[in-house]
Amino acid sequence: MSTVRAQWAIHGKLDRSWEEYAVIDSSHEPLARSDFTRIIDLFKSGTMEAHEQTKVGTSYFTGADGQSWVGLSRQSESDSRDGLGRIFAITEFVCVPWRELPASRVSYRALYDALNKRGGLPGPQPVILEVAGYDAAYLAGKVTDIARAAAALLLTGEHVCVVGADHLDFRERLDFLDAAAALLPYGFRRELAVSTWTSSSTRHRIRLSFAEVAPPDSTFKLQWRPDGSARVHDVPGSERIRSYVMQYEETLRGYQGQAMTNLIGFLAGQIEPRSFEKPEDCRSALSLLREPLPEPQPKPRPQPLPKPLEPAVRDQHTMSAKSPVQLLEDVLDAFRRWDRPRLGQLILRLRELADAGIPDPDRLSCRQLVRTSRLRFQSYRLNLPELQSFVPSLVNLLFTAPVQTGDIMEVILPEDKERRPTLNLRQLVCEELALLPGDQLSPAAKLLVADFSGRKQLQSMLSEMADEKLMEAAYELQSEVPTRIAVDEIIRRLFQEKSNMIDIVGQSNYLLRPIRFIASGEERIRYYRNVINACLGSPPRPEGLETILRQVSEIPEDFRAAAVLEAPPRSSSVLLTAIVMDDVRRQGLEGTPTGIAIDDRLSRMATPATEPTQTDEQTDDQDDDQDDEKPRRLNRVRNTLEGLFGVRFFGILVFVFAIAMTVVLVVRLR
Amino acid sequence: MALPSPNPTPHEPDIAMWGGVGSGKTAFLASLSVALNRAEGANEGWRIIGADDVSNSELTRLRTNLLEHRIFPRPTDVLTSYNWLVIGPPTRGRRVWWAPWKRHPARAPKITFSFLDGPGGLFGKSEYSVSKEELIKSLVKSRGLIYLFDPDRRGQISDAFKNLDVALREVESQMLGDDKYLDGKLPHYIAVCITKYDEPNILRLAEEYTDHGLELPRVPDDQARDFFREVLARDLDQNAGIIMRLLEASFHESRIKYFVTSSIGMYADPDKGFDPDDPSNIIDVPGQDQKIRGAVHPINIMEPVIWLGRMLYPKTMGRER
Repeated sequence: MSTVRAQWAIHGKLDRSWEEYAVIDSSHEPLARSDFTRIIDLFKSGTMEAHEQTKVGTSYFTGADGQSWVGLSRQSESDSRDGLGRIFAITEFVCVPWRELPASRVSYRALYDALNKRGGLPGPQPVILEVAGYDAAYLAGKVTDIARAAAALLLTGEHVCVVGADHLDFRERLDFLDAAAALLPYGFRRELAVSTWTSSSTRHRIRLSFAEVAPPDSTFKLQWRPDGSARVHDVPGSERIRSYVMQYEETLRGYQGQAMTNLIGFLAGQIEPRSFEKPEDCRSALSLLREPLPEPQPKPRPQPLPKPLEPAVRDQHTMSAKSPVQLLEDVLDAFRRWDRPRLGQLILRLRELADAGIPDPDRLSCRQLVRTSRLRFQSYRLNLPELQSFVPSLVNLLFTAPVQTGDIMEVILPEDKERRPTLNLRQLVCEELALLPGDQLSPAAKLLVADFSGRKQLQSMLSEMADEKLMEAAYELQSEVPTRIAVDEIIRRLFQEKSNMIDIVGQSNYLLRPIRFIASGEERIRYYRNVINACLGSPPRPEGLETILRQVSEIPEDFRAAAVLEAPPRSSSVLLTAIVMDDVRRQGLEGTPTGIAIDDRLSRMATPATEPTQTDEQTDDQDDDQDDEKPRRLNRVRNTLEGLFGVRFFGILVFVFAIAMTVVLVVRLR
Repeated sequence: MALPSPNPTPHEPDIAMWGGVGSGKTAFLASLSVALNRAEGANEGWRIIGADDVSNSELTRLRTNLLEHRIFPRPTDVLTSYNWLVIGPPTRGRRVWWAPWKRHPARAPKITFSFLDGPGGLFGKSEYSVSKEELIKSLVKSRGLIYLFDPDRRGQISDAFKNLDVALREVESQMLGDDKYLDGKLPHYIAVCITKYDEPNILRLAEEYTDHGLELPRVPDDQARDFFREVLARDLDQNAGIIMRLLEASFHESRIKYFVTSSIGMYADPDKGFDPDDPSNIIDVPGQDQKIRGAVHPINIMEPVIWLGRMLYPKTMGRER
């Protein structure tokens, strides 16, 4: 936790006022009211409409003295009305000198929480905000493909707009914006304006935002998907920029789990100011991403005490000064020696520490310690009060709710699934996690824990899990075995023809990602076939296949193969259309004349023939081609003439020619 | 420090709109589509659509608020652009001399209306503002103007004067500085809309100008100018009287037309119809947005737009006055 001194302003109207929106109150020094007016005006994101959620946005500006500031605003409905009886919006705005931010690595969410906690804004002095530390692990947990794509696209200097996330709470949107910003060097935050909601009919200056519809300009549009998947396809501009954005996104994809946390921590250290308008700053961001991450600093060894003391006495003196890792090392040491008096005191202190909460880096070190510990407990010792009180405190120390699979995977090892007469510390942690209330673990984490606790627990967990939670787990799990279990269970439920499950699978891109994670080659195709087969229902119909292929974004080759193998009779045109139109989309041809021509041609090809035999079909095709050829030739001649003489002249020519021919005919007949 | 440029406006505005705080600009836009749908007689068959996804979604939102949630738009906080297409009923197909045996397909008049809706008090501010500059630019670049004047702003007429005066001075200094317009007048067509005709006190004030022969009372267009003059004359502010002179000095008299308008119209009981003793169509709900009481009957909302369309696109729409 750190504190920052923030200048503040309130923008809105006074009760029953006939005046326009304005800054109605603010701190006095060093920023003037006109500074606040200018900055709030510049970064407005649109009129706040009825039934809209609170809007949170960030902004930046340079003061008269050349000092850079970063601002955060929270806009919500007022309780009062203006002179015309209309409810108006009130914006609370705080801004902090940029030079104070990097030192504390303040995240947007932390600044918002601090403003929220602060309550009213007193005048005219600045407000002191207590801001939580930069939580790299929390931010890493919020990173999705869309966040990666957004971060990469921001480097083009263009605006990025996320659509289709109207249903999300504004705090979730703020976390997303924070996560995307965290994937760039921290120095970019000096010039990054984001907003949890913008109106695209407003000419705003927000670089990264959510909206109902993307503005009709060069803004990049990213579609929000429940599984967080996204991919950058079409990047306008030079080939160099395009390849650069793709590389940035691809490099980010290489970081998962702990590696992502480390990366975010590393990028947070890159505090020198950068600008999205400077290509060299954006280029250097990529090189930065490709640098090997610095090795974690070696753990400081406990300083030798001047006079050696008895262990129990020594701990009493030094416990309060110890880091959580040192304290945990001591506890494990006491267990090893079975030093019961010392153990009692240490566990007590550990519990206090766990209840108070520890910083993320310490938590990570403690997880590492548990992971590498060789300590084992005989089963007869499991009921001892020391152990009974130690393990819950340890779990409390190692994890924060809701526990994610990534967190657990940092502690447990694959061999922990094997049961022996003695249990190791990791297995004890796992058993304790299984006892936690449902809301303390993410769905995927529950499955993972159940898998480590034994087959029985897993079966009972699966039978209780709702369809949506199961799907969430399949996408979140980063371990092969439980993912496979989740996917198998989903397919089993699909075959029970539960329409709810079929809908959920459809919305989640037909399990493409989890299946890609657990299987390859023929096995993967087998999985896809099962999913398609189950979703097609009985009897399978071409329309069903069409629906499936339409819902899948970017149909992978092996999914195409599975679709061919499961295709019902007379669905060749459906398959062809889906595959070709998918290619059209991938190549960015959708809506272009070529794309429209391809679509038209496919529609014509899909026109059903009247029960043709194979030879009839071939003949029909030839006839079609010949029939097509005639008007095509005529058109060509007509186009050439039109090009030469113009449309009207051609019309007149035909008219004159017709009259002349009539005259000739009449003369001849006479 | 680099400031990102705002997302650009895709169209230059054909028609710009301005008016004081709470003069009903956004409500005017919200009720435009309803007015077009409800039109009968000569103006029947017109409709409005968004020219792009954004404008379409804004149009839907404005309509939904007015017709479903039955609430007025919230006070506009920031410059907002709407790009709409107004499509008229198709004209009869024409014959041409080189192909007299066939009739050319009927063509519907289609006009692009790009509005810029901004906070009403922009011109009242003395300091520089980005939105103010953009709004001035839109007034300069547009060819048709809709000026909204709220006669119900008790004691706020001086604001309206300041709003008009500042805007006209800014526009004139940009347009009349060179020799392009030799007659010294602005080239725009301007529809002056006296809004909030549904307010009971405005209805009373307009009594002697009102045509009662219709389902709902209405001030005929040829009486609107006189009514405007009366509204201004009744105000104690000495600047009020200058407003009309300011308008008629800045624009060609033949290019100004006055309309007495109401976005929601008066309350008409479904069984008994309009009651002059109970005209208000607004209900005040404590702690909530004001609600619209009955059906929305826009008065003179589409007429200024169609009139401007006819003036700006005489070929497509047929000029008339």
